[in-house]
Amino acid sequence: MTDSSKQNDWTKPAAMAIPKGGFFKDKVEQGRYGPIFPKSPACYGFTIIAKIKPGREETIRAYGKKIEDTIAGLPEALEVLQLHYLRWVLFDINKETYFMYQGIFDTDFDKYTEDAVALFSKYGINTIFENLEGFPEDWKTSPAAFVKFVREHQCPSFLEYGEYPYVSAKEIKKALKLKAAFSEALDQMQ
Amino acid sequence: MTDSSKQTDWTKPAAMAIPKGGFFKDKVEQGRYGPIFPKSPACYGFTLIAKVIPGREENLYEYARNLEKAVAKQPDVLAVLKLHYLRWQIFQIKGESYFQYQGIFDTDFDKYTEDAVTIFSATGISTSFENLEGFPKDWKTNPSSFVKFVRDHHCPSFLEYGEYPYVSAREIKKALKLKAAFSEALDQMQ
Repeated sequence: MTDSSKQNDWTKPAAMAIPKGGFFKDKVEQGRYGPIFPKSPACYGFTIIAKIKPGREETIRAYGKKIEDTIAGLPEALEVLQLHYLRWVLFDINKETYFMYQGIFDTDFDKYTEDAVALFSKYGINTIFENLEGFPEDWKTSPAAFVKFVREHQCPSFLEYGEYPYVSAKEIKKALKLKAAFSEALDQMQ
Repeated sequence: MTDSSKQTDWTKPAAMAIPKGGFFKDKVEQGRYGPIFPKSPACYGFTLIAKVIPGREENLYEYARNLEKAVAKQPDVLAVLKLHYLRWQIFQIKGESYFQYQGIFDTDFDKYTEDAVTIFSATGISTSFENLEGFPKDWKTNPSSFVKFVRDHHCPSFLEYGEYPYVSAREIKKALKLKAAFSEALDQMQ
């Protein structure tokens, strides 16, 4: 279900079942760090799950406020990541706390991770991932170690659904702007 | 960050930190089944995590293939849920399988769950939740037990980000259609 004709039809909601492991074996594309997870009606995305270091929950929650403030001051800060939505979650399993990072975006998984490393360094912010068990301490100088950690902790979906499938955030924002401009133009004609 | 003036500014990406528990204590709105989780720049949403009944993973993969077909046959089958995106995962923690359901949508949490029960009953699609530990067997006749299960297994985000914040899927689809129509009209003028 990944051929380009299907990908162009954003007018109909679509769902895609994804085999165990996250890839279609007959259509695996190799990226720089391993196979590329396929684009689905819900675009590219990831679900990273890792155990937090004991006692770090408050540090992680405080990071949420810091990101809120960063984006309020500089809304374009994450532009290069070509995002739709991000969600960060903490949850408990058997009294141990896990961190989860869910993303929906338009760039491929490996490029996303490399761009994220570059961003963190550019803005001088440490990544929340430093509070996770097994995260490489040399991540700032070794993007490959960062990518490896992320790939090892990625939980691929087995099903994804998009209401306006395959449309990029760029296209959505262009359409919203056109609609607002058109609305304004019609108002001026009254 | 939940006041309505901020909510209407979709032109700037926004992030919102959310307190532990998933609510702003000074702004809790009561729904029919308990407090309503707030709308964020990433709209309404949920992250449900529950343990898979041992040996039931294959049923979940089968469910994915069925849902892909159901949506292909009738793309508006899930229209009432007012969705943006849905993603389903299975992940392992200490050798045990957990199921995760991530949703981004425009209707509130309780209404979403009630509508989902209605759709499942109307279309004869069984719910993937039947393969989860603790899921109520009488869910078809007892929507409140379904809502309770969902609320008990929801893991609220502590941070959410939207590139085109607060815009509903309906508005996005209207904008995309207008842009396509406008493009077509311009082509016809050549």
